[in-house]
Amino acid sequence: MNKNIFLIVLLLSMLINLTSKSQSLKIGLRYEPGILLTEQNSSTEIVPVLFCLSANFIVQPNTWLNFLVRPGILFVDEQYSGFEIGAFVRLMLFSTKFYLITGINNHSNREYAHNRSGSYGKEMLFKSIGLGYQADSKFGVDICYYWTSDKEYAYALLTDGLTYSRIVNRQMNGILKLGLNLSWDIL
Amino acid sequence: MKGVSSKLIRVFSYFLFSFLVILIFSFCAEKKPTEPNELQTKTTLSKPGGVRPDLNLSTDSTKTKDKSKKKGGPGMESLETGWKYETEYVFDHYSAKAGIEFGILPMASQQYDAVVMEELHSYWGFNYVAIMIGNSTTVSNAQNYFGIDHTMAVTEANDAGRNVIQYNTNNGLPTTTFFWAYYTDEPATAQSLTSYALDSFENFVHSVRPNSLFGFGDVTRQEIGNYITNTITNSNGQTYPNLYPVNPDYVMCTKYDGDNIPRWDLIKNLTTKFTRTWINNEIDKGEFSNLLINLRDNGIKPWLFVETNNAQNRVQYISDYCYTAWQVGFLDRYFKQYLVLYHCILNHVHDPNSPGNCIWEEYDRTYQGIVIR
Repeated sequence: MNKNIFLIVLLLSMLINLTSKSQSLKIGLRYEPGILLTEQNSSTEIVPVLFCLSANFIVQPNTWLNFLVRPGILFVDEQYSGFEIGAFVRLMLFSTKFYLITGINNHSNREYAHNRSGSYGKEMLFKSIGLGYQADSKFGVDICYYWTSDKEYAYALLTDGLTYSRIVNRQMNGILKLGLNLSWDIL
Repeated sequence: MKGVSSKLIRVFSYFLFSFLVILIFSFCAEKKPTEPNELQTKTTLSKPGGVRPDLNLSTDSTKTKDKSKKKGGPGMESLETGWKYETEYVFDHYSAKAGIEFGILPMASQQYDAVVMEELHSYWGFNYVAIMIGNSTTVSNAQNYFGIDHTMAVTEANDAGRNVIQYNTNNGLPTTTFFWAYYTDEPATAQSLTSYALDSFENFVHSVRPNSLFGFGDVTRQEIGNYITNTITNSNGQTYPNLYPVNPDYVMCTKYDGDNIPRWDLIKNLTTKFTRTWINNEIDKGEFSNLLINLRDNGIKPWLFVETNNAQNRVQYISDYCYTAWQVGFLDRYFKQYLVLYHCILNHVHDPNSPGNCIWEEYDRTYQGIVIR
């Protein structure tokens, strides 16, 4: 279901690109550091995100509405890393430089394991909402929160080595990221 | 008119009589062929090849026919009259080749299950097993189906581990009984042991169980090298002397991500103690063949690590793994051989020039023994 919504939004953004007389088309880069809010065995952990880089393709049909498609890559650790692609809508708030951004982002988690822990190779679809500030035509900054219903992305094998072992999943409760955007008009 | 009809009746009676005579003769000619001497003491079995509970061998579907007819069986005459023999093979089990160490660390739940443990050994061909040794059920399963002298005892390198190694605490074995090998998993990555701590543990195992092997496994060359060489390298690349190098009998690699072979090469170049390693039944499923060939060519013994989180595919992966291990040469594959007698059911005019043009129905099945194929 989530994947279908994702595809519809992607197609819609492409359709709008084709059918509307857009005022501009921009291309840019986005660096997005942040934190992962994770939980395992009833214990929460905050994991820093230092490497998250994506390209930004922005279709701007008018001054208050933007459509964005973002392919990128994220590397946190061996349990949570992989390619990502997202589709977002950006709405300028009234006549200010602030904007509301919302959309969906798909994370393709890389499979990895060793004897005591590992990660699941899977697609994780996140929903996102955030607020941003467009300083000028090239630079903007925003803060976004991402969440998903498909939370389990890694596991650990708990064992005493003598009598039992069991697998405990690690969950992604949310991701908070600061987005730094640079973009240039190409059309 | 009356004379004509009586003549017709006579002619008809003549043809009817001739037809009956021919029919009786042909019925008598179609007799069951004489069975060879070895079939006189035949054992007729119920239809073999049924699905085993829990462990279903899907890759080796195993009923195969040898299309060459058995020599000494029914000849052309009997074929023409509707009988033939075929030799058929039904998969029975895998078994490790002589001199091969073919090991497995089953899931915890499997270690407690006697049926599964028996099948891992007797059906899938594993001849060594790694188990948790603080429990009498897991230990007795390993003892019954693999033997203590083919069991790798997995423990943590802590006081509980030391107790069970020295005294067989709670596992039902006499204190004097020792396992073939003792192993501690990921002392750096999971247990955060210093080289001193692991060296002490190794000295302890070798002192209380001098006839057993001691080994450990960790994720990469760096973690393993930090224990067994005279130099420790930290995560920043700085090096300093290792005052307590560990001297295990073997080391294993515990990481799986599709780059196993380059990682194995690094460890192999580091130490000659890299004589066994783990293969993950799920993460490595797409490259069993490459991995097993590499291990075979380098003289490294493969151990299957089954402790993963995908219960649905676990059985399929064991089946794939063993099939590949047979192809690569670690396992032999045993089949039950049957001599099967088929009867031709004709639903058309029989053509002596095409004696095989029949619908064949199994008439009898004779078990002839176990063969390697």
